[in-house]
Amino acid sequence: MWSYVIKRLLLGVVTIYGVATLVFFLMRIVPGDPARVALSEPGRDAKVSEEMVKAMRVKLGFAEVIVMPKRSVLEPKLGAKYPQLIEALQALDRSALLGAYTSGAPINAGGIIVRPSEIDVEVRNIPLLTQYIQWMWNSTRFEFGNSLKVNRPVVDEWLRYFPVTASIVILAAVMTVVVAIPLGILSAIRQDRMADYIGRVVSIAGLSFPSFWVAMLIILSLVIWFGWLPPLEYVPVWEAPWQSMKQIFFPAFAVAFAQIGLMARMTRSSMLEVLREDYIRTAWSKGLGERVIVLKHALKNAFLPVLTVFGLQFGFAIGGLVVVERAFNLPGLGNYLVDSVVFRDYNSVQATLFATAIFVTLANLLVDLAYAWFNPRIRYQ
Amino acid sequence: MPGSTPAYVTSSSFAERLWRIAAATLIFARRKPLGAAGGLIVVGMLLAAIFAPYLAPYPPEEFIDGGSARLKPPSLEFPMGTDNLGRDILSRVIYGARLSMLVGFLSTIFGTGVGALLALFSAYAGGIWDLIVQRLMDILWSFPSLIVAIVIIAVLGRSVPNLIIAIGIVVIPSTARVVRSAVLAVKETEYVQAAEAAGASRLRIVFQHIAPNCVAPYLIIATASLGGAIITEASLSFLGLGVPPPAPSWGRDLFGSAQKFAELAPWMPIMPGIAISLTVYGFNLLGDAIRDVLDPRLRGGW
Repeated sequence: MWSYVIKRLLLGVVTIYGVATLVFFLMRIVPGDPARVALSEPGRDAKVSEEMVKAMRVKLGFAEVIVMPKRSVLEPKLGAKYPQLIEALQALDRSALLGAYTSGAPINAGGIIVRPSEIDVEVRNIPLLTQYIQWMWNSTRFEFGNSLKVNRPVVDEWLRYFPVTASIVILAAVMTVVVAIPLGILSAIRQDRMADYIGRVVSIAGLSFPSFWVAMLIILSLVIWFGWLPPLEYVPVWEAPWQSMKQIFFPAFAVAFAQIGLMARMTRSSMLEVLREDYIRTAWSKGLGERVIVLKHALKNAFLPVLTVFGLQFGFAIGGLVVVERAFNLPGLGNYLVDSVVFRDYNSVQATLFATAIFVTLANLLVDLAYAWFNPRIRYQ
Repeated sequence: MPGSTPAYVTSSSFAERLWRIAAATLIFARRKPLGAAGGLIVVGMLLAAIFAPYLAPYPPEEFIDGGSARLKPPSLEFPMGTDNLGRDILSRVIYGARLSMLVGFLSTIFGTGVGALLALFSAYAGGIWDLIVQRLMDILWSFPSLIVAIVIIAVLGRSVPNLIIAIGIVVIPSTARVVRSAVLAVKETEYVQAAEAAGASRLRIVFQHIAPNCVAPYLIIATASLGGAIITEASLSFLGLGVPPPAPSWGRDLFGSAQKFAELAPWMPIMPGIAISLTVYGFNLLGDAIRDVLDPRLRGGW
């Protein structure tokens, strides 16, 4: 068991590093100069100065700012404080420093005020390999730089949006399991009868209705028939549970709808397969009740493939979440990602991409471990 | 008669072949009525896409009567009503089929093609190649599909070819996984060994001997991917990352102003929504039936 867990964990680490590498290169194949693309406002051709491009390259991690005080000017002026100044200058925020330097404003370096004319600032491109090493190192520490849009650390922004998304994902997962598995079991034990047909129609519909369309239908029917809309101002679960439930219930349902279809289908076919096994016939002939046979004997074995699909679908659910958050106008990560894409906020896009991939990898890992836990045959392979 | 070809080798004429295809289709429809219904929907949408200029009563981007026929409910004149700019929704839905079908089919062909080729070569070569390709697929797999598509569009820009690339890349890993397991099963068979012993080149073995045996799983995953591809295209359009307006697109037509006017004119979002769901429903039914026919293990199951 433990050797399997360790092997699986190692593979997970390899995958996550692969993900980080892919994200790195994805942002570097932007046609043209990514800094210029990030600066060009969508739909507008604003004049972009060379200074702005340089500053953007620094923000994106493509270039670095080299700063050196002019020794001949400053050493006589400051005397013993000169080495202190060098240190203070290196500690300054690079983007702020560059901004002050280009605008000609005085720079406060640890209490020592210097004029831009007294220092040399140079923007130097970083070689690709160094960029890569820096990106890898930073992403290990969850340092993704500042959001280009609001100029605050991406991670802070991220944490602001995360609770909404997490609560929807969790609620949707609970809904999926609670609805889909009983539906699938019912379909299987009443094969080709009314309950089965209804179950099948619902599950194929679930697969065919895009989640934003389900979201639209929910919003439309709520507004037209009940004249009611979920509260727009987001409230965390722990502050007003009922209010937050009213808000999250429908988006979670829209996300769960497609999952329910798929999971019910999977449960049904897996159940049907198991119900035909010899040991089930033995259970019947022993005179056991239907409830015991279905829920205790059959479900245990039928559950494994369902579990795998559940894990694989996790990523799919997150994809559906993006559109559902958009449709319900919820301040979640999906909305954040689309906004970042539209504003070409590459730092935020990178961070969101990296983080979702980690979540999906972790979910798959957990499912694999659960699978091994439930199925002893896997453990000893 | 020496010199003449025996009757049983003659290649059948075109009419004969057509007849055989028709007969096979009929048998399929008899055995899989739901699948046939799905097939009909798909063919209908394809025809709508191809003959859009002849079927649509109005040009899709025209403001009827200078834009005075706004928000008209469905009627004989406008079977699906008109939108807030006075455009005929039926015409936009018919033209929208073009984009959906084009992007759906081409992205599936591109994605499953790349995935299948990667799997064919890496699984046949085995060893380090197999390992590398599998890890690459793992990495691609760990991105939620819609998010990959969103980011690729963000990087490459909005256009039809980029949509096809973005949606196609999403299906590469699942195809590769399915085809790989088929290749691994076929690779060890005697006839492949015989071909190797006879000195056939690797390229010949892969394409002549292994690939034909992977066609069934390939077709299953390809048809299953089509519905997903259409949903992804619609979702991207919905998010404003599809083809730029005013070109008709189902995904975008049911959002934006459609949502704003939904209370006044519910047909605005509902019509394109039905078009998407119906099409994907058709593809799913057809895909299920094809899977049942091609995969003997599943017969009698779902």
